Amino acid sequence: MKKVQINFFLASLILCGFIAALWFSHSAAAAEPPVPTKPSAAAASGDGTLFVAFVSVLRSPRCMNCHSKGDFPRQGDDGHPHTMNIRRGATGSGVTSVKCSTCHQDHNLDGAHLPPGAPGWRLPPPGMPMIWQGLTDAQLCESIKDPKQNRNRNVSQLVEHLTEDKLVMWGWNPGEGRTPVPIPHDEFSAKVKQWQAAGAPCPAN
Amino acid sequence: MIGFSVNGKRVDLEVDPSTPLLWVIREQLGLTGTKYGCGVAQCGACTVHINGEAVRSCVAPVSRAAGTSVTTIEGLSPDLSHPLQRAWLEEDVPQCGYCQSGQLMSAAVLLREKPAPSDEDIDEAMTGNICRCGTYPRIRKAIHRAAEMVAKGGAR
Repeated sequence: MKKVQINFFLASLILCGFIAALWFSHSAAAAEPPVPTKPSAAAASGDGTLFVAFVSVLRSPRCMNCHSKGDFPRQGDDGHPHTMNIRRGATGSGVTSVKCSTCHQDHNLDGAHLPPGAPGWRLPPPGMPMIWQGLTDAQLCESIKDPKQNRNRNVSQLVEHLTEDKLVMWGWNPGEGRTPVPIPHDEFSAKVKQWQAAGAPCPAN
Repeated sequence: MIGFSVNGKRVDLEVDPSTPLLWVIREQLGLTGTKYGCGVAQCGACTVHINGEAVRSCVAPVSRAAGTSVTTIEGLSPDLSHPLQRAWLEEDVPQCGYCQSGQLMSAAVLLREKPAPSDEDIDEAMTGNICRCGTYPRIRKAIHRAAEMVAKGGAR
């Protein structure tokens, strides 16, 4: 019985000490002026979070399979190299007898394993390959805004491309067996336009 | 009604626009040199030209041909005189022959765009045409031979 009493006494002592410590720390904090928090990287660069809010679409396989490293397109949600050793070619539309239009139409074909399609189905041209693979969010943001890397588009034209271009729109309707881009189109468009309205800020590196 | 030219001859057809061009070529026009292989643009046996470009006719809806000029293997030359056809005969390329019309139609586009193709050019151009008999070495040889014919002015 005596041992139990001692343990109870010690536990009470520890609890009181803890409460006292809490009280002191709270009092001390209340007594001092608030310390300004360090601005976040995003806030320091305008608001890069507005770009990050929709970057998952750009990083989707539906976009990245044609914006990846190497002079060839990729396929599938795993981004494997396009079967048949398809090449970018001099204009981004393939080579000689294996151009994109050899198999791809301007629309998806019904059924699994059939070539998807949309108007203007092609890779970026080799002189401006628009490779996004391996870029940070900041680099990707700067890349798509750079007229030397985006086919001379200003921000307004870029936004139009992102939200209205039929080849880009395909990402929301990629056909059987392909995962669509992760954000609904109306939501994506709203986020892109919100980013545009804020001056198209990019995240800090 | 969908109208286009096939091997220089005008055709106007009452056909569902989504019908594969291959069916129209084979079943309605009776041009059976173009073959059905896989039906999903994976093998190249059905290759024809639309306005001079190689197209897999098994997946191209006939509506895509509207107003265009379609060339099938029967129209590559009227008398087997195309350099590729002559080279194919000289090199005795085909084994079973099923894929060969598609091979020739792809090779024709290659040769037009690259009259003196390298092995790499041939690999890149012919990569979509599969041959189950494995005649690839003879195909490569025949393309080089046809290129030589063209270079020497032997094209007829």
